[in-house]
Amino acid sequence: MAADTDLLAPAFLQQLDRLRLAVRQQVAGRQAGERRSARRGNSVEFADFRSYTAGDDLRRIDWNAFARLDRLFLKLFLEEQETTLHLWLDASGSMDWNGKFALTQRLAAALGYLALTGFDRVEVGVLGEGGALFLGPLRGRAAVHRLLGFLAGLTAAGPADLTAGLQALTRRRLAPGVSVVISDFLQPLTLLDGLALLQAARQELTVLQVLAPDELAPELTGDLRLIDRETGAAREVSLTDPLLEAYHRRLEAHCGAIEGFCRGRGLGYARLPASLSVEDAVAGALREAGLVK
Amino acid sequence: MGLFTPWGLAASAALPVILVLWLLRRRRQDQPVSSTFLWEQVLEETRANAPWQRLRRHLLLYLQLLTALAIALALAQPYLRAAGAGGGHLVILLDLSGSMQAKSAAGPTRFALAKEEARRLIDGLGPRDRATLVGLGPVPRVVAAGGDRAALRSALEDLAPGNSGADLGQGLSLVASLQKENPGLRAVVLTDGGLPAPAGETAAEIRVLGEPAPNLAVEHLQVERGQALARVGLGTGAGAPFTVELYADGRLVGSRAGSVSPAARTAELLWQQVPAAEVYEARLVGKGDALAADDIARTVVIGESRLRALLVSEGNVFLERALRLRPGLELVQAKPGAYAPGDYQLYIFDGWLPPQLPQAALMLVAPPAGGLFPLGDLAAVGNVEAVPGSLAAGLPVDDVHVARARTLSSPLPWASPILVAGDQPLVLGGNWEGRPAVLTTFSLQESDLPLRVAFPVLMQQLLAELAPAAPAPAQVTAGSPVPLHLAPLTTRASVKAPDGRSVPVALPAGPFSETEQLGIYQVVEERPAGSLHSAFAVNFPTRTESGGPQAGGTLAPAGPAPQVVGTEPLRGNRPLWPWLALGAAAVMLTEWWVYSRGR
Repeated sequence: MAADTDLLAPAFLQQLDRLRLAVRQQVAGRQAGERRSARRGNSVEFADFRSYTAGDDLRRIDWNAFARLDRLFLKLFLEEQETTLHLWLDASGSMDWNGKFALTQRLAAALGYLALTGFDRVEVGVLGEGGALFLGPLRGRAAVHRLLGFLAGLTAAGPADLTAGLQALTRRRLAPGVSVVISDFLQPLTLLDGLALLQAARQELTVLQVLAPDELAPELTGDLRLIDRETGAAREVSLTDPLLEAYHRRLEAHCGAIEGFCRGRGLGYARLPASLSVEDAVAGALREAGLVK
Repeated sequence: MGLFTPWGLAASAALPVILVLWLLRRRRQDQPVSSTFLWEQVLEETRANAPWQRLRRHLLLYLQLLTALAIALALAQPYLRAAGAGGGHLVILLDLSGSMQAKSAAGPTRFALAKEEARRLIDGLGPRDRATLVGLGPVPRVVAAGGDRAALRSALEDLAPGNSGADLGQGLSLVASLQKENPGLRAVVLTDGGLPAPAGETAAEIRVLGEPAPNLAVEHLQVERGQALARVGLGTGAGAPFTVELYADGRLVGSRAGSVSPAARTAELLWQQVPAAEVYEARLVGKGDALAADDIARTVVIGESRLRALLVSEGNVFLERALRLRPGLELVQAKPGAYAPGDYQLYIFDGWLPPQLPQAALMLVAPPAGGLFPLGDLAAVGNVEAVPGSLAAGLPVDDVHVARARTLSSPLPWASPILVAGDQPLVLGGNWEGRPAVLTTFSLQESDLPLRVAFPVLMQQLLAELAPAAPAPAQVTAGSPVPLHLAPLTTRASVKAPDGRSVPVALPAGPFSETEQLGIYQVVEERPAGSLHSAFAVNFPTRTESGGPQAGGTLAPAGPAPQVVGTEPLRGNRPLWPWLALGAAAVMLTEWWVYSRGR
């Protein structure tokens, strides 16, 4: 169990301060980078300024601030800014393997930190042995500590049906926002239905598949009795080269199916080996997936 | 297909052991994985796709079983009967009869051809083949056996044809006995064909070598009473003119020319007034004769019936004449005063006895009274009768009268009566102190026996008893045993062969059989009175070995037809175990390959 301070190194926090959670354009027609409020006619509460970056809507520029400070700022309104980041974490037994869950925790911590420091709300749902565990909604910088403490205290164990979990999640009324599902997705492809449900619940969904290096390229040999860590079931295999090749094919097929599903629906997808450091993951894969910028 | 060592199959007990070990092998190692979700799918897929994948699980097992089976089979040493395979056994029988000395038209003798063929057969032996070399003489002899080709070749070089015949029947029975032990045995008889055909089936291959070549032979030589008769026979070929030279004791005494026509096949030549000699030789002089050994025939005339006798008498014409009737008798006469014992086989003492009787056959005619024999006074004698069962039985003695004869005071235990007159014995004969002896109790001058026809007959009978003629034949064919009739008192005897070698004869003498050499054999007998010489001649067996219709005929075996010279691969047993061992090694290599591929 990692201490909350161990989850994110201070140097990384500095790095994270320079990033922010990104929300992709989901429907054609919306301008990039702008978040539209779903509610019209409500009072627009001024919340904060944001530095102007190329591409932002010129109408939002606060000319008063420009006149005063000679720098371009955008006015941010509360409703626009308030996005909920839902983190759905797979804490089944298969995640407790070779650093997968550690990376999951770190990714969740990083994303949560990004959201909280960006004035977004964060909700965490953990699908594990005893059902789902929830945290949140959290808001504001002060909640970072709580978030990290919660994440650090998580353990992955026991069987968990991701599909059922996702379905249960969507039965709760979810605030529209960004959802990130972090799992190894070593479950039947019915989980894609769960993902579809999530997307239907007005979530901008990003799928992060974390796989251990020995899951990506097993180095097993001989006649073995494989014990499933999650279920405890055993399977006798005689590992031959053709069998390993078949495994790779199966892995590719499975992950490819998930990836294809995501791409087809415009969902973000990233496959992360558990050996990857969270810094590299955030800077690389998550940025590519359009989750951070 | 057979198994040399069937017990090797017991090694196949390893197969169930391997199976049991395979089944009991330690359980698979437990390997925890994060999830068997994908593995399940993979296994489902492979199970559906390739049934032989399941076989691959057990492929190593099958290969191990196969290896063990191959090794077990290899240990059982199966063999296949195949041509060209090693391990065969060849028996080479070489005809050593006299006809093998014949030269073929090309030059080498038939035996040289046979030797060449045998050499070829020996060279053709495989590294695992064995051969037995048998010389077919009058008695088949195993000359060499084994797998050492050099030893076989050197034994082959030492072989030479003899002058007598070859016993093929015995040779083939030797082959049959060898074949009982070794069913794969192969036998080849190398001959020129002049052997009597064997009875029944033979399992030997008979190769006839050589071609018929013109041959004349001196088939017979006979010398009698100054006449010499030689018979020349045509062995093979067309008739050719020839010349026969006659030698007496090494001196040429005559020659005759002649010719033999194929129709007549023999020609006879006669010489008259041939000087007396001991050894006569007839030599054929001619060109283009294939066989030289049958061109000489010898005969020994005097010797077997030569008898040296000493007649000690004041003068007895009848006795002398009767004695001289015996052929071969050398009669020496002496008066009693001039008596001196010498080298005589027979002493005839007429009315006189020497102080010491010599050790020889004795004829005592009217010995005086007193002395060694219990002879009494002269007395009148009645009718003369021959004692039935004696050597005088059947002789006409009715008209024989004897005036006076001495009586015997006591019967002679060593003599049995031959002629008697009533109770009074007239002529007795027997063995006195180791000598054959005949005693007459009457003087021939006091009887008319010498004038009767019974007298010479009786004398011959008595002489035959006293000095039996040794009927050693004058001539025999090579290889035949010669009965040696040695003189009764011989203490040591030896036979000198034509090559000078002296062979001692063990007494009592049986037939002398070392007659392979052609020529004159001298018989020397040592006796107390001196040594005795006789001789006999050994000639080539022209009847069987010189070819021609008199020869035993060409061989017509009941088995496969004889083949002319040519080598055939030996049929032996080809062992299969090297292949099986190779197979086992190959399977093990495959096993290793499968095993490493699975890694």
